[in-house]
Amino acid sequence: MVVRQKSDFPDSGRILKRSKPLMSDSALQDKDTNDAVEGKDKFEDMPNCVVLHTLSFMETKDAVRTCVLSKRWRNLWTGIPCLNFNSKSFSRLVDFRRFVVCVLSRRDSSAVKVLNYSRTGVDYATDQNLFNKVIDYVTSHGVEEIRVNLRAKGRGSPPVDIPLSLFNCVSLKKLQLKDCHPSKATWILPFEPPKHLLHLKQFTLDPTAPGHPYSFAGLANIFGFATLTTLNLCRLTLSFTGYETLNPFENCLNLKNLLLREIRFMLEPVPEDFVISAPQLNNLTLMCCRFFKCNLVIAAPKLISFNYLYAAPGAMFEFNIPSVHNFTINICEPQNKLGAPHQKPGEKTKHGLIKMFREGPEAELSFSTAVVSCGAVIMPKKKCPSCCRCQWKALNLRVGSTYKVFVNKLDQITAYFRHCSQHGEYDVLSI
Amino acid sequence: MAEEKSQASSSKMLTLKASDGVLFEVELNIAKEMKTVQAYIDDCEDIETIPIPNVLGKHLAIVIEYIKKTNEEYDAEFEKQWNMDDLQLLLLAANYLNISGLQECLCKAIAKRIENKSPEYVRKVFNIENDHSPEEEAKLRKEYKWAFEGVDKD
Repeated sequence: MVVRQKSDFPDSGRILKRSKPLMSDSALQDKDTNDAVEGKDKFEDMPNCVVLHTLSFMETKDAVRTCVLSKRWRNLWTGIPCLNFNSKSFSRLVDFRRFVVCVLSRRDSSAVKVLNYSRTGVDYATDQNLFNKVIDYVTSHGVEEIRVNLRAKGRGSPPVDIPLSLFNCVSLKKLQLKDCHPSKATWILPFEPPKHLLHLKQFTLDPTAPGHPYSFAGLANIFGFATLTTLNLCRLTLSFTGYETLNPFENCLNLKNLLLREIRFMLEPVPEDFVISAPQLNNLTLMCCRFFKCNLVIAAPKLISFNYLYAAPGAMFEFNIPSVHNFTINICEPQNKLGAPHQKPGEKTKHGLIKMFREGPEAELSFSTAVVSCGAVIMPKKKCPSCCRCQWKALNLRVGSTYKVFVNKLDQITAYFRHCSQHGEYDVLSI
Repeated sequence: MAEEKSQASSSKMLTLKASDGVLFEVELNIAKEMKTVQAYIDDCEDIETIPIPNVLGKHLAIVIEYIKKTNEEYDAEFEKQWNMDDLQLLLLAANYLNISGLQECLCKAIAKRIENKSPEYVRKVFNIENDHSPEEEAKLRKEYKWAFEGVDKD
C-alpha cells in the first residue's frame, strides 16, 4: 500500500502530521487515531484557509471579533477573502463608517474574492466617499464579485457614482447593483463610451424604486454587455431611441441568460418588431413587463426556455428558432392576490402564438402555459411563407390545471401545429 | 445532481476503510467526488480498498450519504441534524477528502451557528484556549469596540 506524502494534500497538511502513518493492520490504528480525531482541539486542527472560509460566511463585524479568541486568532481575520459590510448591524452610521475604514486599513494584502456592501441610509443620499474607498480597495485586491445595496430613506434608491477603479478592474466578473441608481448610466446617448478593462460575466441592475430612464445603449456601453453570460435588469425604465428595427441584444455574443423584470419600455420610434436574438441565449424570462404595441419576436437560435410571466395581456409573439430540442415555453397570466387570474370568466386573453418555426430534424416542443387563447391570432401571417418547413416530431401541450376553463379551441391549436409539422409520425402527447 | 450519478456508466465498486476499521462499499463515481480518493485511484489504478485514516466510520457514513443525495434542499436540512462537534469533525473530513461542495455547506453551517455569539461562547464550542493576557484582551476589545456591540447573550 502506498503511503501518501504530506505534500500531496496541501490543505490538510496539518492533519496528516498528527495522524499515524498508514498501516494495514487496523487494530494498531484504532486507539491512537481515535484519540487524534476525537481529541480536544478540533477547530485548532483546521488549516487557516478552512477557518477563513468559515469566517467568510459571517458579517465582517463578527469575523473581526475572533481576534480576541487566542493568539492564533489575533490577526487571522485580516486574511478573510470575503468582505460583508452591513450597516444594519451598527446602531449608528458613523460607527459603520469607522468600522469599514478600520477593516480596510487593517486587512492584509491577500486578495478579496467577494464584496457584499449594504448600507441603509437615513437620508436620500449615500455616503459616496465611503463607497469610493471600499470599491477602490477591493478592485485593487483582485475582487471577483461585488454586490451593492444602498437603500436610502424610506424606500428610495439613491443615485451613486461608480468609481473609475471599478471599470478598470480586470478581475471583476459579477456585479450586482441593487436599490441604487448608477448616475452615469442614465445619460442618454450620444456620449463618449468610456474605455475600460471591465469584462463582466454577470450583471444585475435592480434600482427597486423608479428613477430616470436608462438608455439601454448607455448601459451596454458602460458595463460592457458583449462579455456577459447573465444579464438581469429589474424595475427600471429602459429607453431605446433611433431604432427602426429593434434588436438590442444581438451584440451580446456570450449572453446565455436574460431576465427582464418589471421593465417599462420607452421606444422612439415604436418599431414593428422587438427582436430578441442573442446568438448563445439559452434562457429568457420576461416578467411583469409593460409591453408595447409591437410584436415580440424571439429569434435566439439556442433558446431552451422562455418564460413570460405575469404580464398584461396583449403581447403578440413570434418564435423564429431553428433546430432546438426540448424548448419550453411558459406563459402565465397576471394574478390577483388570491391567485385567480385577472380576467373575468369568459374573457379571452390575447396572447397569440404565431408562427412557430422549428426547422430541426427532430424537435420535441414542450409547451406549458396557464392560459392559451387562439382563434384568429393563431393563423400564420401571410407574409411569412416558411412555416411549412417545420419538422416537429411531437407536441407536448400542457395547460395549468387551474386555468383549463379558459382554454379555447384547443383543437385549432393542435391542428395548427400538426399542419406546421411535416413529420409523418407527428404526435400530440398530452393536453 | 442525483440523476447524473445514477446514470453513470461505471458500476465498479470500491471499498473505503475508515479509521476505526469500518468498511464502506461505494460506487466509483461517488468515491470520485472525494478528490483525495480520486488522487489515490489515479496513482494506483487497481486498488480496491482505500484507507481513510483520519475519518471515523460514523462520519464517513454521513459524508457518503451527503454525496449521494446532495442538492440545495438537502443542504438546508442536512446541517440542522448535527451538533457542533460533529459539524467540526465533518468539516475536517470534507477538507481531508477534498469535497468542495460539502466543505462549503459545513463552513456555512458553522458560521451561522457562531456568527452573533460572544468570544467566550466560541472558545467553548471550538475548545480554544485563551492565551491572551487580560491586558492584551482588554486592549483588543477597546480597539475594536464597535465589533462587540449587539452580541447575543450567552
